[in-house]
Amino acid sequence: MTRNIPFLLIVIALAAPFVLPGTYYIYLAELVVIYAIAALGVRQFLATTNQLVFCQSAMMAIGAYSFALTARQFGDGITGLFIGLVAGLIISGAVSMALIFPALRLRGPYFAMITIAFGWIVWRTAIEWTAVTGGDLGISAIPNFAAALGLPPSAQYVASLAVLAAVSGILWRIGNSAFGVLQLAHSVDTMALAALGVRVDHIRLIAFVAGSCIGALAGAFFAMHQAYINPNGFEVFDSVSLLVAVLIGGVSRQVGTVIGVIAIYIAPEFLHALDAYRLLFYGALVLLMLNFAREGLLRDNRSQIWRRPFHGTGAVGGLVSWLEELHPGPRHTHLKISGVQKHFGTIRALGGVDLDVRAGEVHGVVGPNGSGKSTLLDVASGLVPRDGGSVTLNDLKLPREGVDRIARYDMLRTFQKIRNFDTLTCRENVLAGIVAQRFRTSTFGIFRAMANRVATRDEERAQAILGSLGLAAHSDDLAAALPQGRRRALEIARILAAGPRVLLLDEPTSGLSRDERDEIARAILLCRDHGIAVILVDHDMELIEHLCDQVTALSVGRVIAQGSPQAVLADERFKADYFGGGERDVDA
Amino acid sequence: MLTLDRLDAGYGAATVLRDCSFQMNEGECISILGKSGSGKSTLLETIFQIHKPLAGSIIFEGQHLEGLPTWRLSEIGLALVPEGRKLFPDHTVLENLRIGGRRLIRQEGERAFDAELHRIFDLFPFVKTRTLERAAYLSGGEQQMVAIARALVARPRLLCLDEPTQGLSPAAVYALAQSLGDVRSMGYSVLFTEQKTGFAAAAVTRVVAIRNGGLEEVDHNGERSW
Amino acid sequence: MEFALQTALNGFSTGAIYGLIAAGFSLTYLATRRFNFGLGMWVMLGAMLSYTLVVQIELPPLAALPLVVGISLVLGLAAEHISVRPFQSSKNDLWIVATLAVGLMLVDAAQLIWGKFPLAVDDYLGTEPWTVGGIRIRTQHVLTFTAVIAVFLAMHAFFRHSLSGAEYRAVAKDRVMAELMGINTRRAEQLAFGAAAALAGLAGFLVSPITGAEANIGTALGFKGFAVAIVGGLAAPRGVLIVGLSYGVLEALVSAYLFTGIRDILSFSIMIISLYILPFGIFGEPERERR
Repeated sequence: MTRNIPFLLIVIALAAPFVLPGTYYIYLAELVVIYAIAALGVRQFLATTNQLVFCQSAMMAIGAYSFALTARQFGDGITGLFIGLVAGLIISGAVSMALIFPALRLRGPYFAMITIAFGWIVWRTAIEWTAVTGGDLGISAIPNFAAALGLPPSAQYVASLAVLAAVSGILWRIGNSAFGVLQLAHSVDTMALAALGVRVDHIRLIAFVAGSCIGALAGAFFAMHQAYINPNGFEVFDSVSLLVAVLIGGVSRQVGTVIGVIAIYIAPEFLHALDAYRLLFYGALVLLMLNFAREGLLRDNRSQIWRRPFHGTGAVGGLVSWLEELHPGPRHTHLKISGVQKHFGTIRALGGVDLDVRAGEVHGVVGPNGSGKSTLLDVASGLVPRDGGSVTLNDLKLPREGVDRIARYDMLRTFQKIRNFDTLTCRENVLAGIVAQRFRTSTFGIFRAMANRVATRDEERAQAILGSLGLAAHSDDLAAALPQGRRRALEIARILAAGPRVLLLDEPTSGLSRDERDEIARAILLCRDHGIAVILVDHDMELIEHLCDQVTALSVGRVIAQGSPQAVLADERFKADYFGGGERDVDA
Repeated sequence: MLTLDRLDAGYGAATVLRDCSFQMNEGECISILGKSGSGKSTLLETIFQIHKPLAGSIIFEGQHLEGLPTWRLSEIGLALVPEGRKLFPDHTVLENLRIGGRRLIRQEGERAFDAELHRIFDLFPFVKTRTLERAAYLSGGEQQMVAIARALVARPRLLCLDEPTQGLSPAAVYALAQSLGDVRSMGYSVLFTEQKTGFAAAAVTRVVAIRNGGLEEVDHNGERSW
Repeated sequence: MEFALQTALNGFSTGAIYGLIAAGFSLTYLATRRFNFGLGMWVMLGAMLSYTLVVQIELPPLAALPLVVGISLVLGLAAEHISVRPFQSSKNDLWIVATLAVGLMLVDAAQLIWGKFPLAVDDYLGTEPWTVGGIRIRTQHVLTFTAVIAVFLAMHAFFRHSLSGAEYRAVAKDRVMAELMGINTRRAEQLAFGAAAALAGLAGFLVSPITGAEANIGTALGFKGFAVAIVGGLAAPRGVLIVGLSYGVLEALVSAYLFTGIRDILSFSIMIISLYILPFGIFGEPERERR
């Protein structure tokens, strides 16, 4: 119940101006609403990518100027206003797409610098391009809805409230959809999500463009609100203020953002007499950052799905029936690795490796440190581009690089260092695999995922898969809270939920106790029995002997033995290379 | 000299070593055997506080090491030659050695450093001829020698090496074993990890094996029963 | 022709300043893998301090110089403590906001202390321009260029020929190995940040007669310095001088022959584009995974 108090407070705050005397409060409240819309755009990008943008006020400027310039061309009626809004959306959409498309791989400070520089360019352009923007003098006599319809100013306030509600509602709905799981996963561990075959670049692009368009929309309403715009109010400081508003309120709920905006934009009204206000503001900002320093901003970010109670009926089958459902009937998977080469500078990591694995086979890869085992998996899964040779799956040549691209061929992998979505529950982790599997195939899968809720059946399925790997008791626990020995099991559960035809396992049992190892071994056998082709890299010879049908031994990037486990483990060259001859007389 | 008391070691999400206890006395040469992935590097990296110990304690000459920043360890006499040698590749051999001898240079001056350097040159004669070359241009075996020289210039009390023979040709391994013998005869205490049995067997006083996440004493030239 | 040459020569001095600021970014980055996003504001601080010391207190510039650099160094060390140190072990981008906020604090503090109007500082070597080969050139431009070259030479000597310089390079290359050698990497980070602030202060000292001392000069300077650092390669400080000088000359020529207002917009657009295609800069190397 207490969770709803902030929401109620906001409703009261936003409704108050209607009953308070004079137009001052409506003016103030409308400004808050406009900034809240812009801030929601910033929040949405932060919640999706865990990255900061410093150019939202530039997007507002684009929206404001586009609106101001187009709206007046179409007479004083409403049509002109709508065209103005559309113009703002189109232009900001195009600009933001052009800005982020080449920057998809840029992280952290480089991306931040681009947004700061872009924000500065837009501000400077507004000042210099006097022919279009009016320079420092700006544009005046901007129409608005209330004036166009002959209604009192409060009607404009209602219009902006409607937009806030609409934007907030749409974002909320998306957070609740199947895409919501992917969105949260993306913010926690983008690589792990890519390894499930999800087009993470697309997510980032869509998030940025959407956030920017929301900013432009806010900008258009800002223009209507002021009836006059000039470059002031669209500076870097203003972008930083929006960011601060989002950070103060906490990223976990939209409500927090609105409260943050109220705090940031109401405060000056009472403090503007203080010259040192902005100075204090920045000082407080630094302190705020210190508060979040260790764990980051998204520490309280939880999926909206998680907040819904889940009542499993146990009616849906676990791993076995899921694998049956995805790939019914006998399989004919054939993965062929031919002559694969990889160099790191002058170091030859792989010097032409051949390996075959088919449906229902477990193929082990062994060798000492530095022999190229992990590199082989990295190259096959597209984590690292290969320098020569080919990898074909059922006669289809696989791309040279791109973890998500290769994952879409149903070839999935685990990592040496376990990757789970730590701030999602175990069930959500597995659900991410299921959702990825459902929506990753087409380019528009992301939009389809937004349009669909998570099917109850899928949630049940996730629960059941957890049961198959002995994790049912932890289904509502966060992945981060799992005891260390169970985390690998969760990773494997999630990968299997994403429906692989080929499974690449990189030292899956390292650091596990005997029992935990046996459980993983059981899961691997289950995969084998259901026609999944498995490549298993490990040091544990007992495990290799127990599980594998074929084994390849690598040494310094080349195959030195290949065949049945018994044959390879008895091979003299392998023994010499791996264990070291005890008979070498070092002191002679 | 060095005591491990019920040490749990690991990093990330994995505990690799559990409840390890071990004692080493001054003047010994210990060989720690373990197969790939068993935790050899983790053990040394935890001793040197590159990873925080998960439980238990590490005591060197009466001082607890837990909580110390890594850079303090060379001050109290510990030196590590990590896996893969890790010379600073763009620095010359001499620069690498000078960094190794930094405390000596700062506290006792260039002359003292020169004297120590010449002692090291006696041990590794070929290093003298390569001082001005960039470290990256040396062969694996040569880099290993320089790395050990760099560690010795600091006059450590205990020299630790992580898989010193990794990536070396048999000839280089032989030469390395000889050098280790010479280092031992100069009085240094040595601790190294290895995968292959029999390395530097003549110099080794005790052998310890890592099995199933724990430490076990094994007989000299420990049998290969893993 | 004369005009072009004169413009180009002026560009050399601004370019030298960009190079100096870029060196500050590089230095910090090498030791900490972070930047001071507000470094430009520290240049402004140097300019304001120079105004007070040289114009208000009437110290000879030579005496004011060590004070400006010293105060910047000390404040830089303090700023590192609150805006970089707490974030070193965390995996998020909050240090960006923290360093930026510190920079913005400097701007607002400057406006409170020195007001909002540009304050004039005379060229240190006298207001009469020199005539060299028929071309008139402001003494401050010559001084700036010479001073920056001297600083870069000193930095080169430090990094290549001194033990501390070798240690610093070691920290930049392999932090864990440097610690095993006994190098206090924590202190190296602090000093790098402080040194960058000191370099920025020096830049401000040199540039104040040219731009005037005003609270807002830092933003553009900082961005351009960053752009030069990026294009020149963060891991290769020597590249930044060359890139900086080129940038300065290019900018001066564009500004003289084209519409002035477009100058900064062009600069930042070039920076954005260079980030797209050259994430490691012209002279830099791909960043290897830091242990």
